[in-house]
Amino acid sequence: MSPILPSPFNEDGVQFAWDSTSINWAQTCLRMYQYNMIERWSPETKSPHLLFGGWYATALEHYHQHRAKELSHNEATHLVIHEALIATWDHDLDETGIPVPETGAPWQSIDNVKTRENLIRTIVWYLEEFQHSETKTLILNGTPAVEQTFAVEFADNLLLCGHMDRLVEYSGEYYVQDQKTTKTTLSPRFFEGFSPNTQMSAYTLAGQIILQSPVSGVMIDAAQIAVGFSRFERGFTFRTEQNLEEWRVDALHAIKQAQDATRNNYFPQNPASCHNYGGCAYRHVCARSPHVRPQFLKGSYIQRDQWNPLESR
Amino acid sequence: MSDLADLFSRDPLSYTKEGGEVDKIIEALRSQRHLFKLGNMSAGSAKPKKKTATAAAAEKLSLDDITL
Repeated sequence: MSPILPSPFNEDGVQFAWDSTSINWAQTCLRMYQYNMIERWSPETKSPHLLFGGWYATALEHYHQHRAKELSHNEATHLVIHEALIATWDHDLDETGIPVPETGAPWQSIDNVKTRENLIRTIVWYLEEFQHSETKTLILNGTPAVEQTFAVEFADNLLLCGHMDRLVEYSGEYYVQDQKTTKTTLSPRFFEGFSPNTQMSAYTLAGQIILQSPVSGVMIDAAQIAVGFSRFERGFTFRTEQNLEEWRVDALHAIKQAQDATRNNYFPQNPASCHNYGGCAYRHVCARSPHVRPQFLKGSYIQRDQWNPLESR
Repeated sequence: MSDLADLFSRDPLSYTKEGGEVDKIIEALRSQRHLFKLGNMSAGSAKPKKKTATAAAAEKLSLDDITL
């Protein structure tokens, strides 16, 4: 049975535990925040990009954990590849939630590039590409700083939560390391897109609080996924103390707006954001007349478990 | 079906240490990466490779066709 998590909302129903995802929702559009965070609506089909990226990040995190336990590169690669193959096979589950062998089928992606085969290929190729990397996993309280779930106080009665892939030392500086997958060509423009960026600023700030030392920014290992290959580039996004303080103040402003909206049960739309990045998942809801939206939501979306920044991932 | 495609099509919970399936997959993918590094942009494609006309014709040959 899964452990019961503390709620990210206080007794008044106002969110106090925030992560970069929920801050992004609040900064993008308060109506999007309401649908995602308060009412828990989600499109029926989980994005293949989220699935692919999640399995990829998990494989690399587990690889670094194995290496920190002094397994060899080949031993660690074998373990994470077998794990990823199992994770991407939709087995039937028994009554205790254990996958039943000889049941189910391989995950079929609705994207023609982010497929199961290309996921496994990308993991193997990445581990080959960076097996001799000069990054060193930091050790925190005797354990490798991999899969770091954090919840730090960044204002009165407000927690900043999240999950970092890895904290590393590189060329004498500390960085948070993050993995990204994309189908686009990797260029300086790709990495420029991470500044300004809520997730990267949140990681850097949290990293500093956890380490009690300056963190220069985020080392981003990006993977371009194509039909016939996977290609990698390492880039950096940096934050000064002034950048971080500015981000903190702006994030607190957005959080306060979301909290006020929750207290007043009024979440205005931000029509300027509806068509960014391929379009908001709820634009079809907002385009409809208010009196039919409840039925449209029930017919075209599902209500998932509460997005909880306090949950370890 | 290629060897790699066959391995991917099987339940990974059925893999065994003796069968070495995981290591075969890793080895095949490392070979693909080597070809990619040499310039083959489709080295990592999971699509079955198309037969050349020569290879297709060769498959139709039989020793019975040879008259000595």
